[in-house]
Amino acid sequence: MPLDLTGLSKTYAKDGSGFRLFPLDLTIEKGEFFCLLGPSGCGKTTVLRLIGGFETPTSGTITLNQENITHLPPNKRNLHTVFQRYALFPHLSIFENVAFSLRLKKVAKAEIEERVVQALRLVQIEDLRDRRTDQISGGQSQRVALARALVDRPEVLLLDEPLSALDPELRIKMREELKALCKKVGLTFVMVTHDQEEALQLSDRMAVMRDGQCLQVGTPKAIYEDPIDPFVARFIGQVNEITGDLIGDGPETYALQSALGTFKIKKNGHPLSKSINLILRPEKMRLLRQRSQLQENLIEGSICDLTYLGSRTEYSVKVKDKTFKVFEQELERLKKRKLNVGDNIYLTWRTEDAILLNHPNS
Amino acid sequence: MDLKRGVSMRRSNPLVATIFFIVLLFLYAPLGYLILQTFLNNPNDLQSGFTLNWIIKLFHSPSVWDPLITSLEIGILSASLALIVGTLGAVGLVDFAAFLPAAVQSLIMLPILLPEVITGLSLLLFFLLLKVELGFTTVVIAHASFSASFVYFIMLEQLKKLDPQMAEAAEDLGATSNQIFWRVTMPNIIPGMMGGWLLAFTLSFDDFLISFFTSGAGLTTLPLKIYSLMRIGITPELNGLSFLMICISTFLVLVLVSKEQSRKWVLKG
Repeated sequence: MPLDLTGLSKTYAKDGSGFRLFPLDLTIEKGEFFCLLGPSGCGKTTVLRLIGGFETPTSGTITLNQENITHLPPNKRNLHTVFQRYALFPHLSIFENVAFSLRLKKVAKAEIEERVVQALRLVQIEDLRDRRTDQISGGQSQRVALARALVDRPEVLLLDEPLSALDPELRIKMREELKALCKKVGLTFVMVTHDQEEALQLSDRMAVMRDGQCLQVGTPKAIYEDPIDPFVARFIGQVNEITGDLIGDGPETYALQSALGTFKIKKNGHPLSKSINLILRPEKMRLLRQRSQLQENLIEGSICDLTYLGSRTEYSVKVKDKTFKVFEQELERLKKRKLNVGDNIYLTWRTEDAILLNHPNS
Repeated sequence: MDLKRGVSMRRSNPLVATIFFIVLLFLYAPLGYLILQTFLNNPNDLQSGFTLNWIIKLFHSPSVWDPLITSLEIGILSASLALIVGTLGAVGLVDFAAFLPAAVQSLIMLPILLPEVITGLSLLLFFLLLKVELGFTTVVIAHASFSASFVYFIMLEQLKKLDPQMAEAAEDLGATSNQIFWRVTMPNIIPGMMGGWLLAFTLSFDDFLISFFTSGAGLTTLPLKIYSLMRIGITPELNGLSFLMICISTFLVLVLVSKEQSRKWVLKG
C-alpha cells in the first residue's frame, strides 16, 4: 500500500517568483526507507511538509493507501513527523510525551502503559520514562521523538533531518539504528537529508532534488553508478570531469576528443549530444608508473598531494590546469610501488567505468 | 541576573563599584529614611531613640485595616481580570503580531505610555457616560484595563519563546486546535501567567492616580489613605502605613524573583 504523490507542486508567491516546487510524481512503497536528498533550498522539506499536511499544495494529489489525503489536516492523517529539533513537550515527562497521541485517542490506561513501555523499549530508553525533557541528551531526545511518533502505529513516518543535530559519532550510530528500526517495525520511512552519505547508507531508494525539481529517483547504487545529470553525479560522491566532443562512430564505442587527449567511450543506450561530460569516480581510476601499451585511456600528470588514510590513499594529480582525485586501496601488490609528491605518473581507467553525460549547455 | 553577572565580572574595578553604590544610595536613601522614621520615638528627631510603638499602634487601628483589605481585594480581582484579558489578547494576536503594522502595536502600548492622569480622567468620563456608580467595581475595571496591556506584553513574549514546532508536533500527533491550546500551549505559559498576575497585582496595589479618579466617595485604598492622612500632616501613622506598603511590595518582588529562581532550579534538575 504505497504513498503516492501525483503532480504535487507548491508555489509561494502568486506571481511565481521566489521558491517553487515543480510538479512531482513519486511512489513510495510500503516498508520502504525513502530519502529526499538535496542541498538546502532544493524543496525537500517542502515535500515533507506537504505530505505531513503543514503546507497546502498548489496542485496535485497525495494518496495514502488509495485514500486521497491531499486536503486533510495534519491531525487527520495517519502519519507522523519526527521534527528536526524534536519538538518535545517540555511540561511533560518522557512517558507522557510518548503517551500524548494515545491520551488524545482516549486509549485505556493499561493499554497506554503497555504501548508506551513497548515504544520506549523499541528505542532503548525504558529507564528514562520518568525524566523531564531537559534532563536527557540530544541523542536521547531523538529517541523520545521517534518513540512518540511510532507509538500509535502510523502508516508512514516522516523524518526531517533527524540526525543533523547530533554529534558526528552519534549520528553514525543512529543511522544504523534507524535503518534497523525501519525494518523491524515495517513502516514506511520518508527522510529528508542533505547528507549524501546518510542517504546512501539508509535508503532503499532515494530522490535527488535541486531548485524545486526532482532530478533522479533510484536505489543508492543506481544513483551513484548511473547518475543522469552532472549535478547528481557531483552531489553524490566525488567526481573528476573531462569535457569534450563526441567523434567517430564504431560499432560499440565512440571516442571523446578533449583538451587532455582522445579517449575511448562506450555506448550506454542514452542518446548523446555532441558535447559530453565524461565523469570518473576517484576510486575507479588507477595510477601507473610507466606508460602501458595495454591501457586504452591514459593521461600523463604529476602527483601534487597525497593523503594516507589507512584503508586507502587519496592522491591529487595535476594534469595541465586540472586536478584529478584518485583513491587507491592499499593492496599488497601496490606495496612495493612508492609514489611521492612530484612523481610523474599516468592516470588510467577502464572504459566501462566512465559515466557519460550530456553537457548541460548542449 | 544580567546585572549580577555584570557586577561580578567588573568586581575588580573599584570605580565601577563605587558608582554602583552611589546609585544604590540615590535610589534607596529616601526609602531608608522613611523606614528609619517609623521606628523613632519622635520621627523628626534622630536622637529620640527607637520604638515599635507606631507599628503596634498601626495594627490596632481599624482606619488602616479597611483600606488595606480594600487594596488587596481590588488587586486580586483586577489582576485576575487583567490576566484573562491580556492572555487572551496575546494568544489571539501572537501569530499576527509580526505582521501587525508598528502603529497598531504601539496602540496596544498606549495605556503603558500615556500619563496616568489622562488614563484616569478618560476612565472617569467613560464611567460617567455609562452612568456607572463609582466605587469598588469601577476601580477594579479601571485597574484591570491598564494592567491588561502589561500582561499582554509579558504573555506575548512568553508565547513567542515557545517552539512553533511544538504546536505542529501536537497537531501531527492528532490534537485539534483546542487540544493544542489546553494540553500544550497553556501548560507552557503558566510561569508567564503567574508573573503577569503578580505584576498586575503590584500595579494595582501601588496605584494612586487611577484609583483617585475612579473610586468615587466612599472607597479608600491604601495609597488613597496615605494621601488623605498626609493632608492632615505628617504623622507617625503615615510612616507606619508607608512602611507597610514597602513591606508588601518588597514581598511581591521577592515572590517574583524566587519564582524565577525556583524555575531555574527545577530546570537544572
